[in-house]
Amino acid sequence: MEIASPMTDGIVSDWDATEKLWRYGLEDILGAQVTEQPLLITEQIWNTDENRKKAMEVAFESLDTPAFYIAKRPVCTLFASGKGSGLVVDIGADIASVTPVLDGLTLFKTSKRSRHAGTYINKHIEALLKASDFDLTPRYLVAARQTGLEPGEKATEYKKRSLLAPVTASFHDFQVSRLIEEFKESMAQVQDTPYTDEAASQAGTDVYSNRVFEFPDGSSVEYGSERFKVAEPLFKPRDFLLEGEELLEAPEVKEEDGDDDDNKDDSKENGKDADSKDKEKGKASKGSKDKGQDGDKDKDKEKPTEKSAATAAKELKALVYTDRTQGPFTTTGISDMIIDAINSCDVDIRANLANNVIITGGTSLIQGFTDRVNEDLVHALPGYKIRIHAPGNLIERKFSAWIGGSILASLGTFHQLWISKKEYEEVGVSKLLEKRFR
Amino acid sequence: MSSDVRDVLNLPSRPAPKPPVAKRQKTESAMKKMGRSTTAANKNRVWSGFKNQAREDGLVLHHWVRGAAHQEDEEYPFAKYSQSIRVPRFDRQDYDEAFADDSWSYDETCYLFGLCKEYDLRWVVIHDRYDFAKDSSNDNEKKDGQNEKAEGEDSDEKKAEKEQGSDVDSSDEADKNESKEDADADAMDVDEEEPENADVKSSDDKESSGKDDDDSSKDAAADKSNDEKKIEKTAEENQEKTGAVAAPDTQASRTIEDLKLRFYGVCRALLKLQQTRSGIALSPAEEDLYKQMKFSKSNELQRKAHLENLLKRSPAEIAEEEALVIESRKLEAAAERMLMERAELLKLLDAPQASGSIAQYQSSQGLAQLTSTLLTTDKTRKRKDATSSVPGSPSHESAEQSPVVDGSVSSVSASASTGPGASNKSSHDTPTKTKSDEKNKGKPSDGSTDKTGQRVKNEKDSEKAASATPSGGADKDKKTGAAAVAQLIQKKLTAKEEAAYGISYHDKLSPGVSLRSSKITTLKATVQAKVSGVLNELGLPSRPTMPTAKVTAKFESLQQSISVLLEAKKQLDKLDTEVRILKTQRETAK
Repeated sequence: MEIASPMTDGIVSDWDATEKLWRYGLEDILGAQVTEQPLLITEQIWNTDENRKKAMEVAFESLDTPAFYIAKRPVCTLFASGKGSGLVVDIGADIASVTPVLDGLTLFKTSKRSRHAGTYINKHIEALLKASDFDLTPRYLVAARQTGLEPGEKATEYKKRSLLAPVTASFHDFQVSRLIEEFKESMAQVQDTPYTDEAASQAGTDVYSNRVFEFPDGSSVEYGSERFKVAEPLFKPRDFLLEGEELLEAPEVKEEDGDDDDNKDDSKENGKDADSKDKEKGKASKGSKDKGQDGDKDKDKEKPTEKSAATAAKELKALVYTDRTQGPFTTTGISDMIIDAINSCDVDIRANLANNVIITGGTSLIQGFTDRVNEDLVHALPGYKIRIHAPGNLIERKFSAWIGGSILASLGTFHQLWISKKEYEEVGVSKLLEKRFR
Repeated sequence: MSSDVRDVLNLPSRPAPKPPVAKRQKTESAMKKMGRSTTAANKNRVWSGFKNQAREDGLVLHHWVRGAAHQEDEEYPFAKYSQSIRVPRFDRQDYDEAFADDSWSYDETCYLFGLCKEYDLRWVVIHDRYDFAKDSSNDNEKKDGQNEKAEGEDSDEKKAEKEQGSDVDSSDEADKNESKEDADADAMDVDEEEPENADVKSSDDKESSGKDDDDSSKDAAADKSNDEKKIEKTAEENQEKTGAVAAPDTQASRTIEDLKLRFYGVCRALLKLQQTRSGIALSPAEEDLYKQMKFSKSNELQRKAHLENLLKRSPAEIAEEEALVIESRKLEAAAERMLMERAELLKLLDAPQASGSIAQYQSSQGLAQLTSTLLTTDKTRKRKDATSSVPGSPSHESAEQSPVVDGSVSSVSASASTGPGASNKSSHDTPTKTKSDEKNKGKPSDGSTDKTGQRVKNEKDSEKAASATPSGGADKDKKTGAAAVAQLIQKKLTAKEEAAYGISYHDKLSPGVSLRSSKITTLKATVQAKVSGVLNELGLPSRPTMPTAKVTAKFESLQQSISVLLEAKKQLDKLDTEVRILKTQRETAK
């Protein structure tokens, strides 16, 4: 069994898997008659025309839906919280993005995104756990954990599960990443003020309280300020570099005047031909979630120290800076991205945006995240009235785009926007893309 | 829009009955899906198809409705919300005639108007999507593709015509024809109009023109060249974004204000053009529109700069400003309070208007009556004051009465007074008196003994003091009260004002009422006669006819000097005679 994610950077990269997923969800789980129901899907705003085209083909030709539409995720998120305009901060696994929306229309030029999101934090956590010399034994390898261990004591005699068949590397990696995510969800936390080592040592455990994390094998470790240190890269990525990560000041400028060899087209995947290359690269350099095809790469992942420094740096660069649509990703933290996005918008709508900041996405559930963003914004934009909307409900936070999409599709005024099969056949995909999804 | 569509589809224009609320349908169907028993609620619901007239493809969607299914020709209630903004149209001729501009090619102007229509003049969005260079290159590419699919384009053109009516060439069509037929010329245009950008552009254009030449035969090659172009463009964008030396690309650097300026400028020019062509003056509404569309870029920029400054204030500045605002509010409140106090004071200083006629008090009989009534009310009040300390007595009665009495007293005193300063004096007395009354109420035992003595005095003086204030009682209280009032007044009034109001201060006032003229010092009878003689010689009466304070003082000093001079003369005469006697004695002695 191989485990892989069909999504890369928040957009679909594996259409065969995606189609199967859609079918499974719509037909097997919902029991819907896809030939009778219109289909609405959401996309990130940096989705490519090729992807839209493919989505339309799948919907009309494979699924045979009568009508189809693609809505933008930030817009749907806004609708889910009952707004038409606002600043949507979506911080998920691969991508953290900040998108201004005005009357249901996204503003591309002023939107920001970076890779300093969930997967990036996973890497920090992985580095931390490895440094503390504990085996990352995933749950599936443990039949019974060793009991009666003091914190800090290493579990040596837990009961191992005997496996009937060898597991694939992708399965193992997936399980390890689940362990890491468990750590992230239960331990990672951010303070209102930026984390620094000095501040942490001064404030002591009153502020940076200790918490015990128990590994599946029964060993447990107490973590204090480390819990905050691993989450801080969300806000200050430049101050907390991963091992081998090199800080590139505006890499796009350096690479602009360039020859077209492989490792240099990170910044200009805008064109179609570069895109396919990028997909491969993105997949290879992705976190543990969507690898699987090639085992040697995975081994590289697990032992980054063994990799040649050059490869590691290149992969990290690809992780952090590659963008397939509009130039490179930023290297700023999430708060700075929000501030930049607000400040780069027209001055007339800034106050409105600052007053309607919507936070969504799974990574935003890290403890203290919303408070920290609020603190940063109030500090950086004293002239504005900052109001942050973050649904407290976990489901609403994770699936806000779905909720908004369902609201949108049930609106009476929305029905004129569906792309019907007839339209698809008569007008043609490329023209539709230009007319309707610009 | 919706009516157009109805016409096209031959639909009746009567409104359709309202279908049930969409939300309930949704929950209903969702419930059904979840397998709950909703039979009761769902009994009379049907799965019905409906058409949305805002669509042109006749797509039939389905939803649950209560009661009967939708009729075939039923109007969809939300179709009427499909409205779009009316953006003026123009053609090449208009452009050349009225608003040709070196920095705005015809195509780009068309492109701008297309965006304005699509995004309903949401300028921020228009500016966000504005990328003429990229989109026009896309267009070219698409046109190549469209030559193959003539069908699709045809239908599109038909649609465009339907939307526009027949009169003017659509911008879309013009755009299309332009780029299809003479893409080369187009390229020339661009070249001419953007000389700064020539290096990048010309290569692009060469490519595109070349592509046009071999048309669709080498699609792959064309695609590739397009891609390269795109990459270059992205590179440009990137450069700009990072603030590096941006290529001097006029299109990429168009600001919102540039776009607005162009749009409103063209709209105005079109209105003017329409007017000159038809020869009909603009209607008032159009005139209004014409005036409104005057867009001042500098003003707008200035406004935005101000707004930006406002939003950029530091917390300290904001705090300071807030503090200032609070301070100014305080000042305003203080000023208002001061004005109110001053108005109250002025009201005090103003003589109360006599309410009734004073004729009845002008005879001596009337005056005597008045005095007696005042005295009796005074007496009753005193008695009541005394009794009010006794528990169970109706103290509220006195409280009821006293204001009435005070009112009558003050009005009487005002009407009875005659001298120039008297009216002021009496008006001062009013608050004084109420004050003293309060005091009396506070300590009734004191007041009663005090007052009985005064009453006797009052009675004695009453005849003489008929013209003076009847409240002349309470001497002691009056003095302290007067001092307080004087102090109060002194603070606010200048010397000039005091003179004007006739206010004067005395260290010691003799009790009772007296005439000022009677206070003039009288001399010894012999001297007085002589003084009167001198006054007579000077043509003055022996007593001043109008004994105001000033006149009296002057008269006094005059009298004094006359008497001194008379004395001097007397001495001189005496000495003279003595000298004479001594002289005669010496002569006789010789």
